[in-house]
Amino acid sequence: MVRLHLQRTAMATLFEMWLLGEDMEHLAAVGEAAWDEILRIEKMLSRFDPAAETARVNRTAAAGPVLVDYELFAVLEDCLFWNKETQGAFDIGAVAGVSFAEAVRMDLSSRTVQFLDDRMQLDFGGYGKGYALDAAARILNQFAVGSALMHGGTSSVLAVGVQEDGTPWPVGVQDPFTREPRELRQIPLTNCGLSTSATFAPGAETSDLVDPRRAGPLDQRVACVVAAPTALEAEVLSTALLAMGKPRARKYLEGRTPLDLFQVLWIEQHEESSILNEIFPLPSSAVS
Amino acid sequence: MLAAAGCIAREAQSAESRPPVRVAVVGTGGRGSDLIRKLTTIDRAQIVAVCDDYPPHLEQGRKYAGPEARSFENYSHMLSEMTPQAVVVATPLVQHYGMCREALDAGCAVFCEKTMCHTVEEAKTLTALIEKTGAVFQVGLQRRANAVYSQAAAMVDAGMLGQITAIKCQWHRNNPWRRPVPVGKDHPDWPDLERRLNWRLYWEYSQGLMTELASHQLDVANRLLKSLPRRVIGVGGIDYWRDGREVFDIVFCIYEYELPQPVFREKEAKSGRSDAPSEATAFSAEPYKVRVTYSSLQNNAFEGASELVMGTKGTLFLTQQKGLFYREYGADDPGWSRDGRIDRDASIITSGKTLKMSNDPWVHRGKPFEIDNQSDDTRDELVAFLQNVQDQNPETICNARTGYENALTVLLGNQAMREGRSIEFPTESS
Repeated sequence: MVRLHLQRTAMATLFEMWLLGEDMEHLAAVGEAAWDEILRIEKMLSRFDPAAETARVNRTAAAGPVLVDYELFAVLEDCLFWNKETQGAFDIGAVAGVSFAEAVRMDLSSRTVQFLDDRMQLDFGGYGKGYALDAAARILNQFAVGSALMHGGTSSVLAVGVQEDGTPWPVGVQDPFTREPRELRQIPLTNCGLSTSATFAPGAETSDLVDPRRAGPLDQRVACVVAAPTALEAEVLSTALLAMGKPRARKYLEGRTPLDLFQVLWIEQHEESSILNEIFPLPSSAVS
Repeated sequence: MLAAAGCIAREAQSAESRPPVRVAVVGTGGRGSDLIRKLTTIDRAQIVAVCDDYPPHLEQGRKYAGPEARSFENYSHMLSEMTPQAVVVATPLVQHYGMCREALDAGCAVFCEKTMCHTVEEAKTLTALIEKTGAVFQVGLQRRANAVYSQAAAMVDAGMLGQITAIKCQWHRNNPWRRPVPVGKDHPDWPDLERRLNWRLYWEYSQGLMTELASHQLDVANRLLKSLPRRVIGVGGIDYWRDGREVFDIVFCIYEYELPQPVFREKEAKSGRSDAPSEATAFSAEPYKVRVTYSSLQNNAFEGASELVMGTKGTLFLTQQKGLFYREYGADDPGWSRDGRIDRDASIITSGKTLKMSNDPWVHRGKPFEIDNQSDDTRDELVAFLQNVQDQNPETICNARTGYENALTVLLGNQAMREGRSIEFPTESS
């Protein structure tokens, strides 16, 4: 068995892939195809690349309805679904300071998107990384690569199958608030996405994440780790739960059926040190 | 009365309410799918059919084209079933000629992906046919629709670069350029599928790096110099990816152009402000030579796909996203020892401190003037094409003549490398 390691930059961050298989030439070709898929999605969802589809929508949709391709329209419908599902906590209008559900009119019959508020700018944030990793995994599946680990910027991870020795891919969760590397937990992953969202980068004074309800930066030093069946679900939920805050997040998760692959960890600061708690599913002792 | 009616009809046509162009796309692999997705974002396009003889690619094309498009595995069958107004050809290079002809014979406008044809003869025949019928035809060299390159051409024309003596074009990447095959090497279908999906790697279907990559950049050279080359020498080989491919994985070509002296140089010589030799005016009737180098590597990606246009007064570094213009230090520069704010009669202004310069090897570049591209050139080239289809205007942004000259340029480069000798370009009349 051979292992291919590929690292490239996209979406203003570093992506890495480890692919396992029998034939290095095949793995290299599949790795390139998966990589091309990630670049294709960046060209669809980036608001920074002027040639991207999203950048074009952001430039023109305040002036009138803009025709978008089928895939981007489906992505926007999915974002609207998640916006409702998370009671507004996941909102691709948050960076622009407006609510996506209120500021965007989507018309299915004409496949158009229009901004009703001229401040509106689509900002997919981590959603793009999650979407890209799931799409890359479909390429791996199409070409029979059954074991792989991928990440985008370390905050979005997707594990396919197991390692050479049959064990799951180990992902370490590092304390997001200390400069000195400190591992808080190791999570073994198999056929599962994982996403970490933290309000503050290590040593940062203000958060780069926006609270959609207050339209200001998040102020608590917390982080949320979600493991879910796909990288996209992990990404959306970690972003949304973080924006909700722990009490609302707990309430949101209450009464949901725990899937084997679905897990939520919460990291917060207590007396200058970080503590990690499992908030979903609750440890069995806490349930009884 | 008829004339008046004609005028009204024309007026109505020029409004945006014109019906969209009915487009069929043949070849729905990577590039074809890109084009399909862009077409679905353009009001003036309606994709009526997609066609590919490889089922997984056809399925992908159908997905991106939407439920209203019909799908065909056989191209001739598609053209017998329907007559689209325009056909987009995005198939392997060896199929371009035949498919373009079929579409043109059916009365369709054609958008043909670069490179126009697999051989010079095909490109020549196709161009003659198109020029005879006046069909709307465009080759997919999207830099023709890119603001960076239009600005660069305007700057060259305005003389901002001075006299261009050399252009360096490169497309350097670090990957095998190999598409994966969905079955294992032990599967009986593997050899056939491998050649089909990796058509770019075999001479039978492709002309390698020259047609797949160099065509874009050598079109930039032909466009900026407004000329075809006179001759080409080159070397190429398979020196890294020795995996059974036939086409070179490394190419180096030098093209030699012969150009008339630019007009602005004569003006310079007269005004006495030039550093050009004093006899400049005297020999200005003689053509001068420009050398264009082209290289493509597949194991180092430094500076990626870019062109460097070198003139006596400045340098343009061009990419699809951004262009950078650097001035040369010339005899007519004011010089950085003189501060613009104070007495200009002094030759040098000194203040007791040595002016500091970094030892950065790139410091000589100075601060560039930046040209930004704010758009997607592939989408823009399609918008331009569709407008010409609606207007029945054969003067597309990259017409058959340009496509032929581009094909000639890259194919003779391949010939020079494969035969190991200098190849002369045919003269204009031939």
